[in-house]
Amino acid sequence: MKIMKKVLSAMLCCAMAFTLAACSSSSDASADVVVMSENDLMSLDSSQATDGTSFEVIAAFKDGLYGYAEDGSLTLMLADSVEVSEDLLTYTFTLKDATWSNGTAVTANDFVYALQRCISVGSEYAFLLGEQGANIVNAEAAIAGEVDVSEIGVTAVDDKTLVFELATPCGFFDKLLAFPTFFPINEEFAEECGDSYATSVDNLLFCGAFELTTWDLNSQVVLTKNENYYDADVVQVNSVTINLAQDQSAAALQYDSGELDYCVISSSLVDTYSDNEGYSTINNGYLWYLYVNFENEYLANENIRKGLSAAIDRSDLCDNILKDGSSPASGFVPAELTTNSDGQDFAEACGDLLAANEIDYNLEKAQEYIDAGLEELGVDSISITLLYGTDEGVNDCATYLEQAFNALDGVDLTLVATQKQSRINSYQKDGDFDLSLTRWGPDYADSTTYLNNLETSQIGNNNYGKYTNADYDELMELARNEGDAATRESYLMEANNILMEDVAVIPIFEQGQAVLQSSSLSGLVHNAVGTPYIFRYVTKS
Amino acid sequence: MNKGMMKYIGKRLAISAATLFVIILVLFLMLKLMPGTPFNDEKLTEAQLAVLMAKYGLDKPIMVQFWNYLRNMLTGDFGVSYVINKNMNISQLVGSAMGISFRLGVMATILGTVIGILLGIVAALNKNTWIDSVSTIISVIGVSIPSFVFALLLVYLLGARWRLFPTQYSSSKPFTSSIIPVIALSMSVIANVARFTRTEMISVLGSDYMILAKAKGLDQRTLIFKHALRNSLIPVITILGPIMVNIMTGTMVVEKICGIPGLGKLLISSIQQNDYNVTLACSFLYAVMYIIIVLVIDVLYGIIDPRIRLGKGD
Repeated sequence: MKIMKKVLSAMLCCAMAFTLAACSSSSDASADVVVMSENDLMSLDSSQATDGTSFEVIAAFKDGLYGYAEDGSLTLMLADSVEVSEDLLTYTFTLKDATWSNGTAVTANDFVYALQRCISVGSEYAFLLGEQGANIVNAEAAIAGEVDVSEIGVTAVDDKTLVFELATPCGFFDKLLAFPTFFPINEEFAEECGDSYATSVDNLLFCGAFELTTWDLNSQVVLTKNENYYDADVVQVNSVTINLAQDQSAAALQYDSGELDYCVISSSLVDTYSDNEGYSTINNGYLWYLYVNFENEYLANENIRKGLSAAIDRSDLCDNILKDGSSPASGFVPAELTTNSDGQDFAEACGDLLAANEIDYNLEKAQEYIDAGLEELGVDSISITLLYGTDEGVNDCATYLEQAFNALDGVDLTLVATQKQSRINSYQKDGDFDLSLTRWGPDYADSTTYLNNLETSQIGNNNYGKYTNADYDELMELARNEGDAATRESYLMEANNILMEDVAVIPIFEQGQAVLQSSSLSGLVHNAVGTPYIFRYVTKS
Repeated sequence: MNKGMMKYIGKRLAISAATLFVIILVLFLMLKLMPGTPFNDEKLTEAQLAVLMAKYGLDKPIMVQFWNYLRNMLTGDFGVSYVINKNMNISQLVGSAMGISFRLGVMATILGTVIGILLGIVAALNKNTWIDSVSTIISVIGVSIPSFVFALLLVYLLGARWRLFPTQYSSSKPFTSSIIPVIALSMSVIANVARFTRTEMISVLGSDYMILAKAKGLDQRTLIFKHALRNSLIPVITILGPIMVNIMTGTMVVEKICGIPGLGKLLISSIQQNDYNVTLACSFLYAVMYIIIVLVIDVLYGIIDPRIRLGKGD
């Protein structure tokens, strides 16, 4: 009994200590924010990072020429001002007075070095400098190894003046510059670190709102307010901790216990938490769609493709199966990706292209399309396969599609389950598929991050279905060389429409994500593209 | 140490080394045969891919790659990570992970063994009473429910519900944040050790020498702790090796749930990310741990019981 009492009193003490600790952390500026990330860090070298989690951390400890304002809009960060030439090919930036954490100034050369480094180390995002992205003078040739990286059109006129020369106008250049790939790297420091650059806290320099103070591999990173930041007043918390590669169920429990301020949860947890006051859904930017193999004789038939598209009840799929805030796709460019020059969302401006081309859900119509297609083909029924990866979280969606397609008379669909890596590298690359359930995440905030993929020139690259349409290619080429934003957008919107007219791919849904955010946390900026979360403005009461 | 013993240990060492070699070879080939490259990005062009493959020597013939890998590994260089913490030295990556996994494993084994033995003794001394039944029930539960279920349950109860301990591991609170995973991991140890201790204890308590000791008038305490327990513990110690191995290799899901940056969590991440070198290094270390423990047990057996080291037909 005596022992029991001791144990009890010890437990009570523990409980009281925890309650007290919880009470004391209420003051604003000293608040510590804890958030979860599903994934681990891949690289903190901004010229080599490609994943969302790494981008979040980099964007927290380093600024670019552009960044995000509290409302999510683009704003100048390290750049004080920018001048754009009349032909839209030369951008001249004047830099603010900012310093790296070792005391040296942030100079124009830091940007030049970062971009040259991006190409010379063979970064996966080097293409953002080339024709598929900003199209900086000589960048494409440098990526191909034809000219030296020092030849690319990025120059430091003096410490404070940075000039970009583009080969063609780029309507989304400012958005690209907010991408961590374009962030500065101090040459002297990076060269001194050599191969170990960005592999530990000591091998990094900071010039952003936060400094990286702890990096426990595979566990967590702690970002602490940078007192020497040029805009230090804007930072309202003491630190932000990110739990790396955290299990979603465990994160939800940690959120329940009050130790965690923000986490994402899987759709299996949605029913449990949908009544929680912190529950909401966000758009995570991914579009899920079906690649259609145009070399398949059945799928080359437009009516068959239309029939398949019209057989999918996308709203039912999103509301009753996925339940994570996903929404039905309306074209090949998802919502919230980019806004047109008139301020309207690109996808919204396009409207529901599935409905406009009568390939939205309508079972009767679907059967009519299929019947017409079968007649044109001269067969009674078609047998096709649908490829998907079991490790991609879309098993329910694949099953749903299987039922939807098999409900059509004359269609016999079989699922082929594999893993993502093998879906892409073994099946899609070899053209060994009929339909393939796939997703695309935007690399930058412009519709071309999606639309470029279906150009004829992308066959052998990401145009796995080998779709080709001369009108489409022409529109994309026109858009590429168009300086006027509104005209360019009209070309791209028309191109998006052609894809749906042709049913070049079958869009299914725009992926949502269920999240839990504690009521004391605010100011967290979420982007569907680029850097997922911006911690600069977070506050905690 | 006599000649026979030396020969026996030498033989075990040779077998262990050969096993490790085969394991590396199989792992290496299996990973090479997996679809895709470690450079996952769909957006990479063929030209860029070629540059990257050349940079990391992945364009060379498989056997050359294997030979290079093996040679570097013998000097403790596991290469660099291609994906997770890109370009970081893997020795550094797995080194810190292994330390944490090992520490938790040892803590769970010690905790589990102590509680297990106590539970076993109590059960044996109260054979066929309700206490014995309770102990048996605990053992059955401990053996049949996987440790990650306990982990989730404990995170929910002790962490989220009663807020006694942190639910997630944190390097700033290494002790309190290890409590939940250690308890979860120790459950199967408790169960196994308790069952073994109980069985052994009962058989020892009924043996002739115990009756003799009792007849000599020894008090209950000396009887149990000096004679019964000592003799029952020998077989129990032999199962500690396999238990330890089980814990080390079975921590994966618990590590993921409790956010412990150990070898298991790293292995899962690296498999998901196609990070060849990290997967290989983690799997290899697991194999090394297993083989070392088996080796130690084999050698200990040989020392304890000379008949074993002779082997069949010797």
